[in-house]
Amino acid sequence: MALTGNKPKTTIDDYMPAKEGIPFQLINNSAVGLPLPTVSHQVILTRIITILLNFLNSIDDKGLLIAGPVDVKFDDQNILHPDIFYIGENEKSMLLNESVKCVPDFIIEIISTESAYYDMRQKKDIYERHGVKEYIIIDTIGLKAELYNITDGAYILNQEVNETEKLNSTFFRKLSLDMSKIFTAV
Amino acid sequence: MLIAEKKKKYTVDDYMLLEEGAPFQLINYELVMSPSPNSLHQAISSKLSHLIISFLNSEQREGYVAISMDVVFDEGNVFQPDVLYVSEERIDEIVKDKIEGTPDLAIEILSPSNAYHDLRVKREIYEKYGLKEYIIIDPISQNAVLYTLENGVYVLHKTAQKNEVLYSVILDGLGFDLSYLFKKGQKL
Repeated sequence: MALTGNKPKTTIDDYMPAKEGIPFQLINNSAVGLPLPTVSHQVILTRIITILLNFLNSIDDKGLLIAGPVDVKFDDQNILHPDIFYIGENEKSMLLNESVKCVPDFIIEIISTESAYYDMRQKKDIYERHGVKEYIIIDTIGLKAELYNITDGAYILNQEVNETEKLNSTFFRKLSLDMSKIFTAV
Repeated sequence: MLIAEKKKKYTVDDYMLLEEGAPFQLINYELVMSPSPNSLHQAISSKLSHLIISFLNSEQREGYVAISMDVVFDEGNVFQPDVLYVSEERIDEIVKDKIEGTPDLAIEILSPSNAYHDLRVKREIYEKYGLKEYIIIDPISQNAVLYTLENGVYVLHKTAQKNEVLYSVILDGLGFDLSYLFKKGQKL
């Protein structure tokens, strides 16, 4: 897992025959395996999904909210597993059973020490390059969250909040994530 | 943490009981184990310290430069930047058995196992204690960023890609050629 720039590259041809259910992401042409998520990670994921689904239902949205891990193919070098992502109604037709081949509008990553490097750097750069409109990072260690929006093709840090504050989405107007509800102890 | 609420808080007293060279850092009252660095990481830290020392010598300047040296920030934070520099005026004041105070420059070399701490926790401590220049070298993506303090807050001052040179702000005239840092050998 300690990948260096000198490692032989994995290509999409190595990756794709591996069928479904292989717990690797292809990130900048390197196969990256991360440990299974922790209980905290999954509790937070469930809480966020619940809030988002309630919100989407309340505005009668026809898009699709998906919890990872599923393959999302950004390009031949990058097949990623976002924790949570949203695809608008119009792009839903591009979904296939095996993997998602369109760029989500909205992505949330719940970071741990193992995933932080990728979520905060490499995957963030890939999301930016492909125009994911809103990217939220939930930091389960520091109990913080940050929200990035695309402006002129680059991510701008729009908000940074702590465990007692609310994160207000730009992409979904009126969506507010109350961090005290997300980070509250089990 | 969400679940493990009852984590023990470690302090500098606990840290001092560790054997010399034990692979731990004390970050935010937590003992964080760092696996032994890989060959590329060590080559980069060696080259960085060499470049800084050569620069200081060429300018006939004094200064303290060290790799993986303990810095005592406060009760809950004693850790080792990959490379650090202390200016001549401050050597007597802070360079003791360990470094007791904030260096002028710190450089961290990222790996997937340490990135969370380097990008967030250590960065916040450096900012809080007024480290003037913080450089992060990413050997995987082959780039580097340099933060400087403005009114007590870190501002991303520069980024450099693998074929570029990252110039220091506090050591005016010192440049780090990234293609040199990221190649295996040491020849300039």
